[in-house]
Amino acid sequence: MFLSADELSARAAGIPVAIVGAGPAGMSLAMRLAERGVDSLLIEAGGREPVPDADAFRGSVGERPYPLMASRMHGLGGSTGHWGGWCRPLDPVDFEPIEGVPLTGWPISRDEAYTHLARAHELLEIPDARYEGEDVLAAASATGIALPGQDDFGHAVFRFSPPTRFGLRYRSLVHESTRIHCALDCSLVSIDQAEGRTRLHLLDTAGRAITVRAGASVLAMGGIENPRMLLWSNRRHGLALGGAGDWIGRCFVDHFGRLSAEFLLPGVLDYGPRETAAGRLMAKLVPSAERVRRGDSPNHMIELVQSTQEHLLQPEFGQSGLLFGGRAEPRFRYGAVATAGQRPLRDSRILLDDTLDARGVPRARVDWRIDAADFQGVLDSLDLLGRHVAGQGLGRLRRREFHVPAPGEALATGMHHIGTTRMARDEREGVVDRDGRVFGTQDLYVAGSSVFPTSGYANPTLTLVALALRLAEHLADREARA
Amino acid sequence: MTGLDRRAFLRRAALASALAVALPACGPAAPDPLEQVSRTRLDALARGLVGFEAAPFADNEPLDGLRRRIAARLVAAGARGDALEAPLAELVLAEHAAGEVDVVQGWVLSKTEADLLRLSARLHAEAGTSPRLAEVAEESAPLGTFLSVANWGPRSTCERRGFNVQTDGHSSLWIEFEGPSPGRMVVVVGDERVPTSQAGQLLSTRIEADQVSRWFAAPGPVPLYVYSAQLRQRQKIGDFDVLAAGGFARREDGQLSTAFHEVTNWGPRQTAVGEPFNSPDGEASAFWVATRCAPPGARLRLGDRDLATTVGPDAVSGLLRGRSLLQAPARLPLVLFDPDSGESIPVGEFTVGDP
Repeated sequence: MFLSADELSARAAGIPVAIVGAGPAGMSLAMRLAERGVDSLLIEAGGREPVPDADAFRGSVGERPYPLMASRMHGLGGSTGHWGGWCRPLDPVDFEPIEGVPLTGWPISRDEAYTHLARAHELLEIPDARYEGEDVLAAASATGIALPGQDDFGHAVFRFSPPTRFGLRYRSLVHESTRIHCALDCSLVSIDQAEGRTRLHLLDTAGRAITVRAGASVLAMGGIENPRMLLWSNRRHGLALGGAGDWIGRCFVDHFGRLSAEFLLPGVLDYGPRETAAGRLMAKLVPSAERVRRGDSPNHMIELVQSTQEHLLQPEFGQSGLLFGGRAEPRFRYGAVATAGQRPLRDSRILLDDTLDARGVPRARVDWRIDAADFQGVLDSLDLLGRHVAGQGLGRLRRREFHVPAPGEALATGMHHIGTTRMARDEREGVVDRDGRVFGTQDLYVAGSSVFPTSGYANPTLTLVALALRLAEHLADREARA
Repeated sequence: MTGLDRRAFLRRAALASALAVALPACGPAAPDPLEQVSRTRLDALARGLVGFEAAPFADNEPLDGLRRRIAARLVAAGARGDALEAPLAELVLAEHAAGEVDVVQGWVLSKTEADLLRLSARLHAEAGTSPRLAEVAEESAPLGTFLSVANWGPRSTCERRGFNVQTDGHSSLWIEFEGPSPGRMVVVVGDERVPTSQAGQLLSTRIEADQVSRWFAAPGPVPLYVYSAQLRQRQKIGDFDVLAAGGFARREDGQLSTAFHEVTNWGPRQTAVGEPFNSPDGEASAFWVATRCAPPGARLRLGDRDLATTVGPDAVSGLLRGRSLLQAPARLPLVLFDPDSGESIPVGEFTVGDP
């Protein structure tokens, strides 16, 4: 049900779970809690329609440009109001500690993270959730580059949500639910602790202050807002939320993309969404897990897109079969877009800006940094792909933007805000524990991609919904025990 | 990497590495590699390379030095005399596999491949020729299949007559396709390209009035193609039919019409009193008149009633709404009328009641 301001005040105390943020994580969490018979208060700064918040989302950036306003939305459904629907679980190697690469590895196994993967697919309305299997991989690679006899590269499968707009799709469910109590147009302005319990200080659009004391509180505000609020609350109230490790806001990760290379290749390749016998899917070229495990490069994906650029070598060059192991046929131009999940870097971080938003909360400052080795690893991977392609007589590689970008150079980003309240075994390594509970607290949790310790190359929504469902189970069990 | 392919890859890499070690041994005491392979054949192979810009490969290195360097690698790879192709093909693959490469304008080429292109560029420069480049024009590109066509239209017109005429007077063909787009595409009508725009999975063309007059002047099929700039191939979409209009009809005054062609058939020619015919809804009645290439604004008129008229390339149809003209026995003239020219021609006499 949706609450009026007066109803919110009445619900402010005694609710088992308070969730701040009605994006995919917060709404998935509330819906699963309702299924488990647990009441929750779902607090959303925006209204029924997701829109960018021109005030709260403003901020500043460090040396590298970052589209701070481009992706975040306030309102029921949050950023699902404009997402593209690409879905894929993280790879097993994304959960593993990589020797020689700091800050890799999750404190939970992939199986634990994805205990509720099937339900996550249901919520995201993905009818076919198969990513592996002979028929699926055959369908995926049918229009991809064929590189037999090597195991440096393979094809990975993405599936598609319609994309589900959580606000539209689940609005009536929230409206009709007797367990979900949803307060719109109500912003969290700080968190404090009293007698070991968390208090959420809210401000509605009429300027009324409301304090919520719930059995458990969950921040599900997004990968920039979650650390911003924790950092601010620590400063405002002299707290040590997240423990003494100074990890809040650190290890900010996003997927970066570059059109770094081009290829001459035979045939019509298609790395876009396709209807296949194995359902709607999309394939990307990915490095082998072994290469990622060796630390050669961050996990990444390569998409080949058709290009009509005129170059030194033209399609007819492929008619010189002598240079292609005897395979004389035209070779066509493809751009190679590599998208990587950067490896965590402590100095890549969200900080508090010097300016305040209209509610008196310091705005966010994004200092996005990427290790040069991550760029180089991707370039090396493209070079390796070029060696396979040319060594098998298929085509040729052209190094296009083949340098490590300067720190001030703008990059294409996934606008996936990851890692800023990272999950860890203890407060020396992160902000939340394996259940998502903030270190130094008993009842404050975080949901969303900010808890991912690493990102892989896959889009985060499927994983963050799966983790929110896992958190719902934990909170429902906790409530049952209470 | 598994199986034979892995072994082949490693063998090639090992071959390239061995060559890299072997090359410095080609000193003054070693036999001249240019004596061991056919210089004529080597030059012919280089000249035969196509599809690259020569200028970036041109330099001032003495030709024989360049030939000798290539020959040395070929000899190490087992080439002798005229038998160069197979060792060369293997050598290029091996060098790529081993990372024995040169980078020219970003393109990663095997060392021998790059030298061969340099030799080709020099030989072409001396002969005043150039390596064959993108000679294939849109209208003569090889045929292939790269597009899944869902629908296209219009599919016919009359001689010299525009079709799907847009507000500024140009005619337009459209092609709807499914699946991936192979980059930029151009529609080719017969052997002439047409300005083509693409929006999503729809191609639309702009065919000017003078082009209509020239391209569709004579009856018969005109092949329609889509050319892919990416693939440098054409795909045939179908045949666009240009219809013969036939002879001109005679007006009521006995003169030949300049607007209408002969009516070869029409119907229905009668109905019972009060009975609609060819009725889509039980009330309206529909006539058809077989005549080709009627003016686009032509109207069918029954008695003094203009019918809702549709003009097609082969026929004109008219819809009589209501039954008022059918309430009593009558013989009503059916006429084709062209508001633009003011001409009309008799079609026939329609009978209500007994014939």
